[in-house]
Amino acid sequence: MIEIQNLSFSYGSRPILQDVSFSLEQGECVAVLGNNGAGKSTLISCISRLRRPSSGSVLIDGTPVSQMTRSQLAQQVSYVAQKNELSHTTVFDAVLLGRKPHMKWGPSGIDYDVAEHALRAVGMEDCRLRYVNQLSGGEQQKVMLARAIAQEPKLMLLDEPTSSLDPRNQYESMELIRHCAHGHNIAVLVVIHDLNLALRFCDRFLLLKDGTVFASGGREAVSSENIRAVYGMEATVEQFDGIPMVIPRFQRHESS
Amino acid sequence: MDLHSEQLHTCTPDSYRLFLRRKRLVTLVLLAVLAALALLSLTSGSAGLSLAELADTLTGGGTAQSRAIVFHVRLPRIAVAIVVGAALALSGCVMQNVLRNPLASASTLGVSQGAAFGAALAIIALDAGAQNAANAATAVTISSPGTVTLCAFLGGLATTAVILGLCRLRSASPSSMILAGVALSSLFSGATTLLQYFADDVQLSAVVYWTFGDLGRPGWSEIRLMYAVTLAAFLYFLWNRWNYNALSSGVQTAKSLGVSVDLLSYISMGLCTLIASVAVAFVGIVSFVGLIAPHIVRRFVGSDYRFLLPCSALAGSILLLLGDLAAKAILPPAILPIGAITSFLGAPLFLLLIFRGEALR
Repeated sequence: MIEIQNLSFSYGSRPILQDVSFSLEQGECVAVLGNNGAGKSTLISCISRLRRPSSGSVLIDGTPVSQMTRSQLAQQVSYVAQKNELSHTTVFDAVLLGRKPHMKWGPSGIDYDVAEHALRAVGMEDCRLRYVNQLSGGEQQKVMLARAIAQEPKLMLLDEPTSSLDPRNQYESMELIRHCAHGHNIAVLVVIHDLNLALRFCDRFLLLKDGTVFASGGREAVSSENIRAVYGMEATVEQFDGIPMVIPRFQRHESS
Repeated sequence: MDLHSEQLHTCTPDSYRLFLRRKRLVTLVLLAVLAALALLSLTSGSAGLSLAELADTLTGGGTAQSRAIVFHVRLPRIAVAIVVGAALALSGCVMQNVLRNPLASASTLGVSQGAAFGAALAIIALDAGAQNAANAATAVTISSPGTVTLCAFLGGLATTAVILGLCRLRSASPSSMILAGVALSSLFSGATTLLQYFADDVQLSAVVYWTFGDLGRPGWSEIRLMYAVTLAAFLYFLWNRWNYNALSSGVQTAKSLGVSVDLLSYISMGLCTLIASVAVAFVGIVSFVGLIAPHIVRRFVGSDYRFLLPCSALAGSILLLLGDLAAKAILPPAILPIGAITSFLGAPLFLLLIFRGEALR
């Protein structure tokens, strides 16, 4: 169980996150929603200790993240950045890098096995020896997911994993992410802008507004009222094949 | 461990094992080339020793003259070329990773020039060198290698500190980092020239040799020091090879993979400066080897630091041995300065990197 308790963060005197508290279980996929600048990415980076929160704490199975070494933390939490720098390495080596926190001098047979399984989990085993900087965006995203899976974390943090993908790759990636949570029993926290993707693939939703938790819960949390309050946008939520769909009602500015 | 490697055979696909084997093969080939070149260097020289005499000398026989030539001229020269090449290439290889800049190296960032200034300062102002002046070639013996090394290291470190500060405070782009290197190089070269102005004849010849680069200068005690320092740094780099691999994927990714990026960067840069400075302190400025050796081997082994580190070191040694052979062969019996040779070799490759647009993405 991952608990975030009263987390706050500010840049100088400008508060970005204020008193954010929530918790998530392993095997659950939680979407972090909110406008640009609402503090979504900051929240993710505070949990992964890329940034140091000004107050509050993050507990993984009761142990505060702040008391772990970076290496211990990396054994529990994996993180996929929004943009990845890609070096001239093979897909397999890129995935094997996910075993880094578990390695001592170098990769063991187990590390190779786990990497191979992670590679198969994202269906990229045929691209094993291709270079990551020569892959398409969708394939790169899958490699990054495979690396995060190979890390065998309790918590996986994803910062806008679908933002640069075409619709088909968005769906495939989100399907994989959901599978990470449900199939590998990982707690997944994903920052995402596409409400319909979130509603289709995530179990719970955390709506941030101005650095605070505006609402959280199951699909009912993504309601017309909450969308209006968080995004400042009129929208209706309708059921389609049993899945709620957000349909924006965009008001055109009439010039008279 | 055996159990683990068995599992590796059951699950890791053949293609990847083959791929790793190919990279190991590249390493072995480089090692073989290095050995061949070392042997070739041993047989080449103005003294005209025959192979039989050479073999005789190496196995403990030979005349006093042949022993002097082999053990005091040729072998030290080869040993110096190998360690200096490896040190410069390793420092370039690691700097390129840590600074995320493919054009980084001791000579392009001005670290070598800073170290040369430090060494010159030690020799001229602190009177640490330049004792006997029997003839021009042997004029320059360093009376106090420790002081010279320390001053060279401090000079190199000053440059590194400026570059690191620039990265930290201004998050400098690769190109502005190199421009800062140009500025620092000319600053230190200017300061070295100024020192020369106040030097006496012997000191002057000592300092001038620095700007050339001369593989024949260090004696065995200096060579031992260079090997010890370079080997220690190499082991540290090798220990961190997976950290460098992680860093190639970006700072945030590296941190999330458990790498203490700041600590790694500072220690790495310190060690890079140290091994490059020690090389400069005893041999003088040898440009471009540190820049191009990693780029050459990257073509064969990719950006995987497991292989890139040892292969870069080997390639650096090979380049310097080749350069030394060329230096001996062009105008025999004169031996041209190695610094000039590597610059002729390196500058066109440097330009090629820029033209191909790989360097400053």
